[in-house]
Amino acid sequence: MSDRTALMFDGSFDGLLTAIFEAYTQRPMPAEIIEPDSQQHLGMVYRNVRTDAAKAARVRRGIRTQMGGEAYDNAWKAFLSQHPERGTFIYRYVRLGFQIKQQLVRSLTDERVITVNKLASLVAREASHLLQFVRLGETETGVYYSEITPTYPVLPLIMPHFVHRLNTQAFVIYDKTHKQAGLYNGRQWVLTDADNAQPPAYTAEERQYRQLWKTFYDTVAITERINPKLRQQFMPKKYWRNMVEMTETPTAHPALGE
Amino acid sequence: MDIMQKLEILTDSAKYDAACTSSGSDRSPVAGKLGGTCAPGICHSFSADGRCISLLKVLQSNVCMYDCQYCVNRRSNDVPRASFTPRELADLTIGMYRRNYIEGLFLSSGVSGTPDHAMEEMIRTIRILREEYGFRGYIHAKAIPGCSPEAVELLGRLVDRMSVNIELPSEQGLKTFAPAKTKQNILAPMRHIRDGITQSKEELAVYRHVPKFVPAGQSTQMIVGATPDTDRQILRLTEGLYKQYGLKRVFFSAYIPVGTHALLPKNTPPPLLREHRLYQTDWLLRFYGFSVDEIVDEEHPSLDPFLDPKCAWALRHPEYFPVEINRADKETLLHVPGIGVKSALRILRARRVGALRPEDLKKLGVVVKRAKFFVTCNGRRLPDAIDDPVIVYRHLAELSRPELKKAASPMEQLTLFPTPNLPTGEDVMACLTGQL
Repeated sequence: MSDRTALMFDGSFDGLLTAIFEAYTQRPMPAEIIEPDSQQHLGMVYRNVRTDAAKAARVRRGIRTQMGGEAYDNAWKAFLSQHPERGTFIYRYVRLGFQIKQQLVRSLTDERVITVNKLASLVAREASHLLQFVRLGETETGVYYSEITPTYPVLPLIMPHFVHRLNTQAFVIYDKTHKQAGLYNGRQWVLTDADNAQPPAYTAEERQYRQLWKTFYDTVAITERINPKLRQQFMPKKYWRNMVEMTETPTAHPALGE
Repeated sequence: MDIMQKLEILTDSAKYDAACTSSGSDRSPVAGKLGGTCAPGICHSFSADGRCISLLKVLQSNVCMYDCQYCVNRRSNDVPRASFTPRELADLTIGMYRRNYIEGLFLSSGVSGTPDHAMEEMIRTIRILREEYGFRGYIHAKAIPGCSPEAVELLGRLVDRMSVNIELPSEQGLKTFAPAKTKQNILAPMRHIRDGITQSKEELAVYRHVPKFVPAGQSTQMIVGATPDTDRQILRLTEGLYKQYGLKRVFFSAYIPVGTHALLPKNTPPPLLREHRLYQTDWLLRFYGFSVDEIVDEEHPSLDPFLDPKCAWALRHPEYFPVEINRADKETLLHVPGIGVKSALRILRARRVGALRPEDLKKLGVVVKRAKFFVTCNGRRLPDAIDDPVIVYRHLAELSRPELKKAASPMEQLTLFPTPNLPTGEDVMACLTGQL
């Protein structure tokens, strides 16, 4: 039995796209595309692929034009899942796509499509949760600051939303889990690696706003309808640690005499 | 009084309003201006009762000259009173928006003085937001019953959504509990808003830059369980509002006993299950192509508490089933229990590539344990599909009310299932519906 081959990319999305490009130059085509942290199998021959922006761009364009923008989005989001086998999953998905073109996104019962879609939807769900639950605070420097601890590194998916709607204020969203920061200076935004963000010094007004929001949050609930399970279903507990209303100490309720 | 106390009082006064969505408006952000909206809306938090918090929901003022018996702000109720100045409230909204606490403002008001005076204060607040701060986030404002068409016109150009609360599902209920409000002064502003929206659409076809009037449409809310109206009356009214007033949403609010009037229910838990069933039906009306008459009729004026309304409908209509997954059109698929809007679209998409088999349904997001009784795939029934309607009823009821499973014996289980609670004669009360 001859050894099967696999390609190894550097862990970047461009690296994976380059590896997919290289795969098409080999006969037989490799069985897997993995990255340095993945588990290696006995009897498999591994070959490193050097990331090449031009090759990656050709594959990117190929996916977009032949399979459609939705297929590319799914592959990109599935990549952000950081699943240890993401390279192989996306490779198989894209190979199928080069065969069946626009039919790829309709093949909702094909395991290769289901796998990628499932990972993509986990990532998309996390991103949409963060659009809901990110909380920004005003610091002494005038820059608004937010800390998040998501399971997946979704900053590239959420930054454009905040940059658009909060375009009149500078802000930083720091992803503590993945040590990444999204920085917006009021004109443009960048994504950067950040080992440790400075603990921010909040303004006095910020402390007042946290209290106001906590008061609103506690008051707006209807006592006769209290339903913690329902709340948790919509607002998973893992987000609470970064949310003002779930961490701030409640104030007394002098106005209502409670 | 400081801003914290005002916020507390005016939130407490506003919290019984059910509507808190920020949907229906898609205003992309503009460089140099704060905010934007996105069509599906965004819920920024969920309060301890599990309800979504999307907007800062407060009253401008809870001082009110009316004495509506179901309302916590009625004149005769002993609660602390407060009013925001327009400046205070606009600043508060901006501060919260910048922190991503909210999508915008949901503003209503008690009526001190004339309805138009209450509207003027609200308009002043919203003008500061829109004109001074250039705020492009979501604003939902209540039109005060009895206000002038001019006030509606002015407010409508500033907000995304406007609503007038129907309050109670029947005219009789209004007469008893809100004598100062009449059907007429509720419906009049609703008509103004409807006509304003129609006119605005025509204008936009001609001039591109006129400000849109209530772009996210109008909504309303009614209180359920304060009056003896049946589900059928409530739903027919709802359907009439969608069809004849072009409403975007009708909200239901389970009555919480805040009033003391002799005819109002006291010490009763809010009818949450009933509210839930009404919302399920509302979805069937808006997204699934059902009509009210299919779901409730003169003989069955109440929704089945044990089954969701689509399952209940399916069991009454065996002639409609089984539905063939590989050939049925979208509307037919949407009538199948266990198939929602998303899974119907996935079925339509996936079957263009190849015929679907029973084992594919789960992959497409179909809830197979519900759907299995009602579908075929290329003529094949699904494994363990049963035909006996009594047994199917029990299976489906257990799925929607798992606590029923705990009942000891099968006999006991059977008796748990009701013959629906039918009032002996149609209530004499004239539902607003008939007249809409």
